[in-house]
Amino acid sequence: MDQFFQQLVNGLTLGSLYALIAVGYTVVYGIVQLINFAHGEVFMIGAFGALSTYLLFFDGHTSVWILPVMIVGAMAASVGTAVLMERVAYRPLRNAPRLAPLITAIGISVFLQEFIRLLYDRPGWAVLAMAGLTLFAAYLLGARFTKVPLDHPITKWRDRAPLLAATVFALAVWALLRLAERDLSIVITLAAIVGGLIVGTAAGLLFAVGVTGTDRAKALLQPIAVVAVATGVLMELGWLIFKEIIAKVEWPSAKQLIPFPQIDVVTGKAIEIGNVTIQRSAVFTIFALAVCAALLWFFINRTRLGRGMQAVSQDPDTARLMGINVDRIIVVAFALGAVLAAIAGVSQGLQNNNIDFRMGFLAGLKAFTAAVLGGIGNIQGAVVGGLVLGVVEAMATQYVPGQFGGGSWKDVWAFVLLILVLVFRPQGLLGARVVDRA
Amino acid sequence: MGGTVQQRSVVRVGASLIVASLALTACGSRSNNDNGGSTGSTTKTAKIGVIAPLSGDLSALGLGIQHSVELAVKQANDSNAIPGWKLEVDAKDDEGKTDPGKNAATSLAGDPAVIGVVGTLNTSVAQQVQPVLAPKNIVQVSPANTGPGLTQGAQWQSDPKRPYATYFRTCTTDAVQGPFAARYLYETAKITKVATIHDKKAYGQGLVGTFTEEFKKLGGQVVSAQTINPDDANFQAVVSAIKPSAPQALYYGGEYPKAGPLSQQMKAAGLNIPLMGGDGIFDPKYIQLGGKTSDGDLATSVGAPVEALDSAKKFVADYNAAGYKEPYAAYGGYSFDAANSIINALKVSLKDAKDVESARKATVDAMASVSFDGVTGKVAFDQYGDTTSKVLTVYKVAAGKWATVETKDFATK
Repeated sequence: MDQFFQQLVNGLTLGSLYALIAVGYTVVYGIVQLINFAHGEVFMIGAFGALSTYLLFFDGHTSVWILPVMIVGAMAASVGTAVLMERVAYRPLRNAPRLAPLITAIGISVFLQEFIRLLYDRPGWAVLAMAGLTLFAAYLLGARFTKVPLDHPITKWRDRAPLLAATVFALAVWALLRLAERDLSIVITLAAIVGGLIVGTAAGLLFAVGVTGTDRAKALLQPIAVVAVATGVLMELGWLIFKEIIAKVEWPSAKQLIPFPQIDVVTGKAIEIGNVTIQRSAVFTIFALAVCAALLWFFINRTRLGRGMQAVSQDPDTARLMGINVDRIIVVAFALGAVLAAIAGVSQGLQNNNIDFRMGFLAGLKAFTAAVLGGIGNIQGAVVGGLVLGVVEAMATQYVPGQFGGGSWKDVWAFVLLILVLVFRPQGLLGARVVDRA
Repeated sequence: MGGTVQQRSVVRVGASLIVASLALTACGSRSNNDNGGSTGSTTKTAKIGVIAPLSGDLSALGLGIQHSVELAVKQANDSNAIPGWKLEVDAKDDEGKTDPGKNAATSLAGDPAVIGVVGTLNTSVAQQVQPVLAPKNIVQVSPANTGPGLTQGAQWQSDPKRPYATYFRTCTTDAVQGPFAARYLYETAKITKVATIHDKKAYGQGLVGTFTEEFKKLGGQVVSAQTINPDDANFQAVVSAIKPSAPQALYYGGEYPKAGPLSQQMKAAGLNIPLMGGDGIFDPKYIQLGGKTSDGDLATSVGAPVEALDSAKKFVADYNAAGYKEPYAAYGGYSFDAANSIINALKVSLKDAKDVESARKATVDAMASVSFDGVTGKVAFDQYGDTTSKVLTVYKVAAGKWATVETKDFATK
């Protein structure tokens, strides 16, 4: 009997982890009918975000108050990745055939794995990532200053060209100056910003005159200048952070498993109840799932944004007519999934004591199974599906006898269960039968 | 103003690029001249290949092998060990997997300048590499393969037969390492009940097999035998499965990337017994992954501890002086000896050879009579290509470091 309870605890721990990730699949699917196959990588980036936060600020410490900061770091990394992913990979394909976002998802997933692996091996590449982010942020900032609606469907590429040219040229000035003089000095910093402003604005105006004419160029002067200055300032800020913080940390090579930090209270000696051992990290994981589920329920049912999500998931077109900003709701759905995935990433790091850049793949696949098991699109279903999957896996390793038993077969049962559910109850355990709109 | 700033920096960048490229080409041409000048006559080139995991989980071990071979070859070139010939190292990555290993071997076998190969790390990879190198008579010396079948055939226990005459190794085998660990646990540590886990790869399986056999023969009891998947990261299930049988120690067949987390998770789950493994877990990275609770864990490794031998001190000093980025790791000494055994054979076979391909057969023949004092002790090979040395050492984790417990010559009973 002890053995049964032991496996139940193990199963619930594992299941909580799956459930936390599965919610991300289900929320996004419920709103845009898209399986975000890169969600496993969002989970992986959560774990790496927590580890990076630890290495940057607390290397060598173990006290428990670090954990909330690590979780915030993990969430920032995950949410950032998910939102960016939605913007660059999924939004442009919103009305494309269903196969297209699926293929991008796989591409994004491989990209994110390799990105993390390379970034940890060569932290210097963080500067390139910063340059990309700066371009993006400066452009968004500049777009706010224009009266021309740059996000409008009829906007052509050439309408955006002046702003883009300004940031690219400002960035080029910055890069050339920093290649010549790497150390931070006030003169170079100012030169990079002022030089970027002048060259960037000139280039932007040139483009504006070239493609749209002088009148348009006059109206664009202010946004172009804003964009050029923002590029310089953001890049200098990024460079300062890189020089003073990132470059001073000794990053472990991501080619191998990376040990995850040990935190007091949540790791360490296990709790014994009778003959059942409960690891502290398991308590943390189950507790995290309970809290997240409660908050999620509150958010979806009691807040304006949450009710907006419900409306969009039922009928996006009518919701839009009712004045709901569907784009924003979709971003919120991605972010919500990412927050839970980040917590799962930290939990897995604490449980396994190590992380690696490939950890998202199998975890993502299992969580997807859990989401389908519970009925994809149904949030309670994802939680139940995750827990069921975890318990089945743990019980099967214990009680399936002989040749097919034991730890080495544990990954098989998840997918056997998936096939059984798809054959006998295709809508999932808690899903309602729906007519496919496609 | 912006224009001038930009212009000036362009000039500076351009100038520094030109200077850098000049410096690089200058370096290259000078070293060429050196090599040409030192022998006075035309030098011919022979290549020693390396097949080891240079990326992936096991790259710490693989890079140690590569650099140790580079060191041996550099010393041979500097001392002009083989007059008229210059040696080069051609390192290929096998990622610790069979297919890339086979590709690496094929590409080395296709190079007419390759005379010998040091590698591989994994027994499973060696099984793929042997049949590629053997038909071309390229001698292969492994610093790390411990699978007994590689030298003595599949029926090595009942009917030993050498499958490939080109294969040699400088480390002892699982036929010795598993039983050595079993004797230590039963006779010295007085442990009678153990559980075993292996990762289903040739190395882990072989190690656990020979360990189990010897442990039972001594009178001990194997209370639980489990396996894990090579890609697992969470070992809760397997730990829960062995816990009720209350073993006094766990013997693990596999390498440190899994063994470290396994040890950590085992102890976090309240199973406070030492984990013992073979040379595959004898690496500083094991302790890093195993955390603080890895104190008391044990490992056997082939040979005597490299730092303790007089013959090894020079190697360690030379290695550190050469400034390689990665440490020589568990197999550095064996790799250095493996490279030197090939170099010693080449002294005989290459002396009057006109090209590499005609000297390959003679090199394989010359390997049989190689005998010198290496980093890890006396280096010589028996009729199967195995090292004649049967010295092994037990190490224990103490205060976050591997410490030597005992070094013994393994005697067959």
